[in-house]
Amino acid sequence: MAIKKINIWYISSFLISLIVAIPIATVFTSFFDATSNYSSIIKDTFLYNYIYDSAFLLMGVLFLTFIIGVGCAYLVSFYKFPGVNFFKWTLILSFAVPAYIYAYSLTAFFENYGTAYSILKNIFGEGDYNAIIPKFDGMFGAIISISFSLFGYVYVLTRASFHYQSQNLIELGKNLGFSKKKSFFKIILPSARPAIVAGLSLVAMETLSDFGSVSFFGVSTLTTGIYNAWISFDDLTLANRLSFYLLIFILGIFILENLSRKKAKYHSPSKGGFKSKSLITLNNFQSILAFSFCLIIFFVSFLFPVLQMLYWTIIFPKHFFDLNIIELFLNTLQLVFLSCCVLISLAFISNYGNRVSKSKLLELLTTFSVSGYAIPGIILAVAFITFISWFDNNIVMFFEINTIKSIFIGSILGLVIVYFIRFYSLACNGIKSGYLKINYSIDESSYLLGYSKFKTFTNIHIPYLKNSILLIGVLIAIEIIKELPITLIMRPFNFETFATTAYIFASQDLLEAAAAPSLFLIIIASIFILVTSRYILKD
Amino acid sequence: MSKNFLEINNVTFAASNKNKVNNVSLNIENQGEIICLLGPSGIGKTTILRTIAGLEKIHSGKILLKNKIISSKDTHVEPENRNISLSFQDNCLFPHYNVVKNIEFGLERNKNKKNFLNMNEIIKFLHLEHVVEKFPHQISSGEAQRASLARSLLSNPDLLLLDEPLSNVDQSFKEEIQVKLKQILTDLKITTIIVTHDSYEAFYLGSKCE
Repeated sequence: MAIKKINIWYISSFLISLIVAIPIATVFTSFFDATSNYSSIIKDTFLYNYIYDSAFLLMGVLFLTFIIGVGCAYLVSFYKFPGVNFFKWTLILSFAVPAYIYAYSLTAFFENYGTAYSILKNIFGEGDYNAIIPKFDGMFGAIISISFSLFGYVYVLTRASFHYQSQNLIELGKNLGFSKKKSFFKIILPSARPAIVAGLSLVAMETLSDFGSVSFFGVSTLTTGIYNAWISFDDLTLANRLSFYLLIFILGIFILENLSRKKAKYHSPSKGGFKSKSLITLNNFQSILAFSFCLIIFFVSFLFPVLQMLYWTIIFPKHFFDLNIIELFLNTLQLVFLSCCVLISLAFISNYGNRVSKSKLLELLTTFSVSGYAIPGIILAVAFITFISWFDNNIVMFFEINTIKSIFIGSILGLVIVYFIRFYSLACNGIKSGYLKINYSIDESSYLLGYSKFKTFTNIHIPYLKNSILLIGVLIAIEIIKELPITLIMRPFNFETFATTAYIFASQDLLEAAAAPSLFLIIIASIFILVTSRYILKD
Repeated sequence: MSKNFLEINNVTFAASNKNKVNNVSLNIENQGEIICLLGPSGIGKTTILRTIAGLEKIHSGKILLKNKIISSKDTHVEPENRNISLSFQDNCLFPHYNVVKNIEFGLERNKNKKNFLNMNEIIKFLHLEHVVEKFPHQISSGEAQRASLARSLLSNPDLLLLDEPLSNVDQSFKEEIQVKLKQILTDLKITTIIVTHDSYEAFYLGSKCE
């Protein structure tokens, strides 16, 4: 029997997981509460529209991200062509561009008398170019924006899977007389399937939880429905009920992703049987094609929004100078710093608690709590407010003490708590995967040398996992810099970040004013990505 | 009251069908004795060591060290509080520290005591001079096993448990290390239980074989 007992680590770990699980449980329990009249109106009118638009958006984004992500991963993993090493890491820069900023760029460029019009006018003189410039708005615009901002998930995971495919597998195809095309469809693609499905599942979850770009393009998805139910009709219960539908949708995808990951274990090549791939050198024409494909994707996904925002920042300098960049930077940094500290330290404690107590109950609770990642930020924010209101009305009032609403709602504390719930899975799973590399006998050696559990934690585990901690910290930072709905709902009055400033200007149709904060957001996120690119691309 | 240095009375432990021991009894009367447990794989030799070290709780029976109960159905002294050192069969060096830092960890328990074992001498006697700056993944399994042994010796335990301590060590060093190991253990009166497959090693090192 393992050393099992309820100790301080167990209790801490239990409490941390419980806090994360509360808003998720709130969504489920609210399902049985009474709703306003708006509920029946929604049911008869918009509900099917929400579901239809969500499903259509999801299909479109999954299709595009599959083509772009797998296509790029295939080219950089199997072929040698000019710039291949450059594209390997530049293609992940698309992570720095949130879908809502991509949406602003797309509109700014293609709208009537927009940037495209100006370019054509400068080259060819006056003319009716608006008629021939394609328009990217509504559902189409949303699909393009979300796809180019999220294809990185499919690219990174598929590339890692392709990288680990043994040369033996490729040679097997050749021996069987397969053409390159047949090898790709019959051998390479199926063996990378778990990674592709995992990448697409992440894309699906992010798509369904997207708020910024769909609301900008006026697409009515379940997420915008939740926001409207809460903001426009003040019906928290209906918002939670819609959240419940979305949660079911997302949990289905989550289960799919889990199943796929379990399968992925069986696809890991054994150490002995692995033979590194020799890259195929392409002929001149093929090289140009491969180079062009990667360049177009890099340009469209990253350079295009950056250049568009830079262009507007330059030609509308007034908005740039009106912006309090130092304040926005410090606000963003403050949130990043606080959230990273809270998330990493609590995720560490929780993981260590799980490790030393080896309790099935704790493991189950932790698994449930990490599903917060699958839940859109907007739902978590609403659920958190619901819970605080319930707690305030029932528990706090019962003891006749001052209301706690102002402590948790519209405060930095509340904002960091909801970030914590939203990104707990990222931190927890990141540290967990680091812990999986530490054999239990390492802990036992430490105990036998006289180190207590606490000393083992501080002297052995933390130094061992310092690289994982750095990577997780940066990933959390990137997510928080880009995060919009939670910040929008939970932030204190007059507290702005680059993301909220860009959104507020864009929602007032002042896209040119949204350019500078968007540009700064992309630059900061890009710096974080570049710092960790070698870890992100680590195979 | 028993006067044995270590006393194991009818200990039963079972974690799974694979890891179990039934009604094991063993006494070490005097400090400094070296006991060898010899036997085929799968009979629970390692499991016995783990229960003595406190890494497993026992279901029945009791274990006493220096007349103090350290394991019984109701009592369980945590491994870090037993002053028992176990050198694992598969080396358990900390992968993120170099060899010398790993060996230094052995000093933790006896920080404030006067050390009668010199770290440099142990490193020299176990032929580790050329690997002290290297990391565990950069050395052979035999070298790792010797480094793990060095760390255990340096911790100056009341009871030293060695699980196949020299199984991966090169034959050319093995005999020399066996001789010196026996000398150190005897000189310093470190009570030791050694688990081994090697009957020659068992009869040479042990003052008693079970």
